[in-house]
Amino acid sequence: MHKVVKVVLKGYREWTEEIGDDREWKIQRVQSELEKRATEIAAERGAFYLPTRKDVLIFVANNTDVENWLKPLEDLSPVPLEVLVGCGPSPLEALLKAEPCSQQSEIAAIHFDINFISKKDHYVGYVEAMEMTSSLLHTALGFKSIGGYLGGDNAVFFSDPSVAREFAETMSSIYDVKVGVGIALKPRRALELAARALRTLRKERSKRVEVLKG
Amino acid sequence: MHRMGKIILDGLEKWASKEGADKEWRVQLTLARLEAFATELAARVDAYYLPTRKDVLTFVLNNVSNFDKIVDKIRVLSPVPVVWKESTGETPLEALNSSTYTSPPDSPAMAIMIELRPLVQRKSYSSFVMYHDKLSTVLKLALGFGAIGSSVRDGMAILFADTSNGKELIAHIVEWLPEAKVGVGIARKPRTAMRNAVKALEGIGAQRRVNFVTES
Repeated sequence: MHKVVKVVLKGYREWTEEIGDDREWKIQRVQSELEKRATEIAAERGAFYLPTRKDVLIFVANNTDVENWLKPLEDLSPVPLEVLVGCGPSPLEALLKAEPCSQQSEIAAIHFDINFISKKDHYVGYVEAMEMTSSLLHTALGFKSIGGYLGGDNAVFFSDPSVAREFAETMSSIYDVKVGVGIALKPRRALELAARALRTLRKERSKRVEVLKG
Repeated sequence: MHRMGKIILDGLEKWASKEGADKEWRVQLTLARLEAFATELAARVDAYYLPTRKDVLTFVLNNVSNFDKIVDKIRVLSPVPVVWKESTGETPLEALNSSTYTSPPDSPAMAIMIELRPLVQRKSYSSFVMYHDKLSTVLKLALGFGAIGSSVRDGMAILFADTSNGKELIAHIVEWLPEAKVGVGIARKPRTAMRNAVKALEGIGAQRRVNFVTES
């Protein structure tokens, strides 16, 4: 079973509409502060804060207790928070239809390194990364995987280990990407292994997917 | 002419890798911290920080002078060297990619705020996936008009365009995205253009799909 923790910012949209017209920069600053703190808390507990929606903070949380350490987010948030813990046979199911948490399994982190980004103008590279992320998000649903764009040439997804290689190979057959997959008990460790797998791929240029298990 | 600035974080990956492979959270932490500062510092001088690919901080700078002082502050906060580029062009996209530099005055900034209300109201993961798809469409559509943009949060995208063809771009957006409402703000400086776009969106009402607010 996989574990995902959702922190819902209750009444966030209403709050954004109550702070005057000169507000976009204020909203963005609050969002960045929340994401910064969420990233710190997740890393301290061995989890990973997955940046997706700004009004729902998602933590991939297998074998961690990150949900007990979210108080600092309450202090930063302009609206009340609701913490929801979900477990399911895949990260997507843990996110969508939460079942009671029993024993938690290993998690696979799938790190996509988009090769062509570095060859483009910065902004055009960004637009192409958005297009590819959109494609990844769609394809990931079939593998019951969740993920998002991390900036630069990076996108990260989490899945059950049983489907991680197939997902990685499917995408690498369509796009010019290198894919590092890390499998471990905790998400942070899985990402570490995925980064190590990517480093191996940069040296061995013949392969496009590498899987490392912790 | 439009004025754009970009701060390139030079060697971010290499810096993060110094601590070993357990780096992704450290990169994310650094980028979130820099984005918070960039947003606030840009607003102080009436510029606008456009959140895009994170390893390159992008600023809309029409009629904003002396942004170098802001760059110096970000330079101090950044764990890696920064490369600063400020340039001008006939459209925001051309300005971003050019090596031309002219002094102000510039053209007014045109901020186009696109709200996909059904997706704003839903808090599900699937609406995030759907929104990403539409965002990608908007960004690609904008390229042909020399406009640039990004997402500010789920269901809410922002573009900066030139006033000469901005209306044509908006016509395409409302055709492609039937659920979209568009608030357009035009002003000398980007922060005011953003404020006007928000005001336009708020005043749009149930019947209309596009609303403009123009003031300097």
